[in-house]
Amino acid sequence: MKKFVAACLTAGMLATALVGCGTQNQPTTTGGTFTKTTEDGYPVQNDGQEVSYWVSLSGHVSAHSQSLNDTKFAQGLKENTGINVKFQHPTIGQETESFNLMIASRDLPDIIEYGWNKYSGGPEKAITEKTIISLNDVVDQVSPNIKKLFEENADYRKANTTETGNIYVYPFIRGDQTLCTYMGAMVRKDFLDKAGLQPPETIEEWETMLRKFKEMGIKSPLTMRMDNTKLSQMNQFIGAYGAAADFYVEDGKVKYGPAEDAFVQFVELMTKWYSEGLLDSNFTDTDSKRLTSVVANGEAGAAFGSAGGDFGSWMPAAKKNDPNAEFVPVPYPVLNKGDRPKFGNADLPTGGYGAAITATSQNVELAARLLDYGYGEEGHMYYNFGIEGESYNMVDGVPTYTDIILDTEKNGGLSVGQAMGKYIRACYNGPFVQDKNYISQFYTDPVQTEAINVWSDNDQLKYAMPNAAMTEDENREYTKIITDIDTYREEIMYKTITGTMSLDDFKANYLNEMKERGIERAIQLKQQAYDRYNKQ
Amino acid sequence: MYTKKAIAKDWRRNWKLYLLMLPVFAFYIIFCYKPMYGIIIAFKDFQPGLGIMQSPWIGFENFIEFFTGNYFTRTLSNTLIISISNLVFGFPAPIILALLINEVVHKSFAKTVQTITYMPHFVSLVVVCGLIRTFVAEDGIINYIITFFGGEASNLLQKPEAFVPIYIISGIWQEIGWGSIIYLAALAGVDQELYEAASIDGAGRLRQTWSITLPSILPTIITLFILRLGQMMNIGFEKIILLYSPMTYETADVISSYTYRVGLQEFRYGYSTAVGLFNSVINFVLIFIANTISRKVNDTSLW
Repeated sequence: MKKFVAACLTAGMLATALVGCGTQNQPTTTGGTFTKTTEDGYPVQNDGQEVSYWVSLSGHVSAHSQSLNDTKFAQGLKENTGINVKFQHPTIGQETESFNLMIASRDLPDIIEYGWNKYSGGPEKAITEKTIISLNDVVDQVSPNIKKLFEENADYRKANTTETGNIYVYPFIRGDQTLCTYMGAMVRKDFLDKAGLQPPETIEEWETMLRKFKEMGIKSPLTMRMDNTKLSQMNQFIGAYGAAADFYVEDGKVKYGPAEDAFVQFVELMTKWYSEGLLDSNFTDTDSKRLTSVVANGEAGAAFGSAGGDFGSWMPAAKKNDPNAEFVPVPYPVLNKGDRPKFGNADLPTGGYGAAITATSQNVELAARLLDYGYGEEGHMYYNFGIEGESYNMVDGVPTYTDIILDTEKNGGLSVGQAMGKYIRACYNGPFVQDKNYISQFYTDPVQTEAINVWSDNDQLKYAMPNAAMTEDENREYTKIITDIDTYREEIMYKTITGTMSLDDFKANYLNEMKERGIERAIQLKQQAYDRYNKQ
Repeated sequence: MYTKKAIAKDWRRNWKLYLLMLPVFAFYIIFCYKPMYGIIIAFKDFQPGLGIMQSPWIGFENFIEFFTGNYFTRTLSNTLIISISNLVFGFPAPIILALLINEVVHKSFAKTVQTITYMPHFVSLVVVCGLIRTFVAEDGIINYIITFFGGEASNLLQKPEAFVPIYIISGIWQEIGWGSIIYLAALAGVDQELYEAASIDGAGRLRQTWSITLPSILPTIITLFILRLGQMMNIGFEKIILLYSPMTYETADVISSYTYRVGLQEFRYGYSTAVGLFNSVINFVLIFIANTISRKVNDTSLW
């Protein structure tokens, strides 16, 4: 027994000694020893080392290919850059779990494309933990394209830099305002005409319309997903009460919509609509197939969704069932007629999502050259439009997709997005600047283009919270608070709306409970980060 | 007793047996004991970049966070409620089925029933949960029956109070046939002369079942009961995750599903390991108690 205790003590001491070495916080740079060995220009001369690249597989690609490697896009990318890139993908639907397991296993590829804000402890932690490297030197030495872009647009750099000034990704950047908005509401125009109503603008008009729809025998007058992600993307109806469903900035002050009175009013409205049968009774079911069938069967009169992915498939499906089916996009609702909507849907042009180079990579330079390609002139065209003469042609100076992409008959029955997935990455994301000429052609139905104009006509971007970096400690504390709050709020919201919990209880306790769970501290942490961001 | 000589002799005589045992031994070492070393991250601020050894020690901080957190009482009581209901309703079901099948005179009918009832066991859990979702949906068959008798249709998976019944009943449906096989085997071994003697004494069918059949298979029942207790807290989190939603967290969120959410989705391995370890400790305590009681009451025990 004595021996055992002694052994334990020694082991403990040894471990503490090791810990001592491990936790020393070293300044996070790659040491400034990075030297360039390859020549400028593409294709890059090299010995054909494999550069592994982890990225989740988009639905636009998985519809026809097992992996990006099997696409024309990957083949062309290899030829153009001269770099032997090999893509690997997590299981679809388990991206977060697969990512976390990969990080814990330390068996890392050369490049990981991911939303780095989701990394536990934030991007800063990813660097100090030696998962990925700081790209400052790499960008400076071997990435002329992105370097130039960062110099021209300081905001692009700021949004992808950690608190201590480390660039961590080759980011995805939306190159135009029209690319930032993609979600909102549409209403069945034929139902509206039948009811003799105009497209609704205020909450009151919405209510009138939904009630009328119900009288007309429509089963679920309004259908939409309200889980945390969708709600914070679209701010459905909350915006009318003067708050966003996520963090936002008003007069230099960071605010959190769900901790404001506006959220309570929003839940009250939804509860009322649910009890009257105006809201889809299965709205908590997040299965996208179910939503498609509800809209396609004409069971829903109004729906929230994205112009491309959702309405792009819902509208043709609805028309198939009912030739009279027509959709009209409606603006984000307000309280008083004539007001301009304060919130809507708009993503920031860039921030946090992109391709990072791992700390274990033996091919840092090749990886960097590969990633920098997308930001140059040639790479920009390649990522957005593909191969000239095959997937696009220049028509009057505008790159225009060919029939292989746009014509369902000629591409083997694929949708436009899926056909694009074979050649380009503009239809989802990646390390490049998205081109606005892509979106105008991606939306094949003029209703979709109109929708973007209608949905973006609000002040969302004015109040947007920038991707302001937090320190490791801030991030750790913040994440702990916010994950707890997210779970709590979604649960309590669902239960109140569906009537499992009484509205009075909700009104009496909700805001206090948010405070008790530390929302004020979370806002304070965001505020600190925001203030620092502005000083940069 | 164990002199060197005796051991050497034993080895010479039985070395083939020991060799046979080796794979089993290796299995437990590699897959059950070696991973246990990872448990130490429950007491650490685990950072993948630093590895298990070099991550800093933080003592019981993870445990304290769990015990004082918002989800401790809820996940613990849900775990207990679901596992105890599972035991109370799930355990006797196959015994009853086996007794019923045993009473059937037509052997071909008995065989058919047996086959049909154990089929669901082979269906993948994901498919089973898909079936459950369809059955209890607002326009599903269960709601059809409810409305037929004048009730109101609703999506049952959105109702916190319906979660445990759905979980338990579907579990019984899936495992009842498979579970009854071992009892049927035990029933086949009961001496038929006992029944003849009993019927001569005037005992009816029920009396025979109660006084002959049940006592005959009692040892089997008790052994299986103790084995079952050992898995009591190991609620299959896969099924919970496939069926629950924020609407039903209140009754459905158990320790293992919470561990999964926090560990794999929120990436807090240390904390999640601490929660899992706590689950194992309770599990161990339960087996220990059950085993002690069983030994005192009827001399049958696992150790």
